[in-house]
Amino acid sequence: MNKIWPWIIGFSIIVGVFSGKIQEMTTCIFDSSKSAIETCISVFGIICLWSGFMNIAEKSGLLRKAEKIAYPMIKILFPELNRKSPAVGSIAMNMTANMIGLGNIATPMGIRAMEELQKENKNKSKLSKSMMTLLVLNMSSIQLIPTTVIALRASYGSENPAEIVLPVLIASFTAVISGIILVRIFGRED
Amino acid sequence: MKVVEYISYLVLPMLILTIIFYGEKKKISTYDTFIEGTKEGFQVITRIFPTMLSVVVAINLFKISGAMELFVRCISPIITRLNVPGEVIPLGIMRSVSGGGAIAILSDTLKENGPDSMVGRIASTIMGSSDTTLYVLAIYAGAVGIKKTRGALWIGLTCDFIAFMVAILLWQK
Repeated sequence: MNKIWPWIIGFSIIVGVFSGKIQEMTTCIFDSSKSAIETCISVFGIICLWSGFMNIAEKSGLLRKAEKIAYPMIKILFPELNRKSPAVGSIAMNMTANMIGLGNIATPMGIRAMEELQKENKNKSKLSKSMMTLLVLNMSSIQLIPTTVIALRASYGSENPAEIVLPVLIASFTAVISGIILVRIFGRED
Repeated sequence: MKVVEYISYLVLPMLILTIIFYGEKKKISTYDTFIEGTKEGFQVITRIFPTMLSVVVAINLFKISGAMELFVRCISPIITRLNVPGEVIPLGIMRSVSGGGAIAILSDTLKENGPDSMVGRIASTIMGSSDTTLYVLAIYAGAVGIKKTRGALWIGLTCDFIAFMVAILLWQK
């Protein structure tokens, strides 16, 4: 980000000046700060709520149980992960929430998984392979049924709004698998 | 469809019920434990916000200044060589950058070309097969305070491009 961020901002402002969008840019800068805090606040509640429930699940030992069940599957995607790692449960729940399309719930679980993975990370300033794999799973959609898109297609009068389900699955799985392979090739050695 | 929807709504309440029930069974003071846990959420938000802000400002400037349009116009000649219909290029770029922005472009595309046209189908598939890469990266890496994310960014964008190309290949006659 250190390399890309200044370029995006610099390039945008220069283009904006030449295309006469100066006023829009000023408004945009204020609006962006507002929308960033709005996005944060919109996830704030659910993150706190979920941290609370997860704390109960952790202290009661429920999380351990879930981890034992999910471990064989998680191990295929995250070979570096230790059986006893507390990240296993959070990763499993993050993936499940993503698959059934509960994005709002998936985020706090994913963050929790990242925190657990960071504890095991040897170089704290860089992403480990496991973290990158988790990112790939969240950056490419693993949602099984893209409900928003289907609803949108229906609202524009599609004869078969759900006909895209299979193509979406094929496209997203190809992308996820490629992503995982890329992480294996280019990811940092732990 | 209805059944799937019903199940997806049922998952969360059932999960919460299980957590509470199991906690009570193990004789844990569930309320205190819950309150104690929610406090962790505050720390997470303070770590996410700076990264979130930096990404949102950069992306919005990129969109509003016309830089994105310029970018699309520059790469269009190269991408149309790969048999990509020009109509879906802005969506392909926006998909990685902003979820709301991508929905807006998809709506326009469906309205103009019809949802059952080739372009409409390709656009819908692009929308469904990827997530907002930059946003996910900002939140997840921000939450643990990692700033060196270039590798993950490239992998994420490559995945988006692969999903984009597969979507086009699948619907093209």
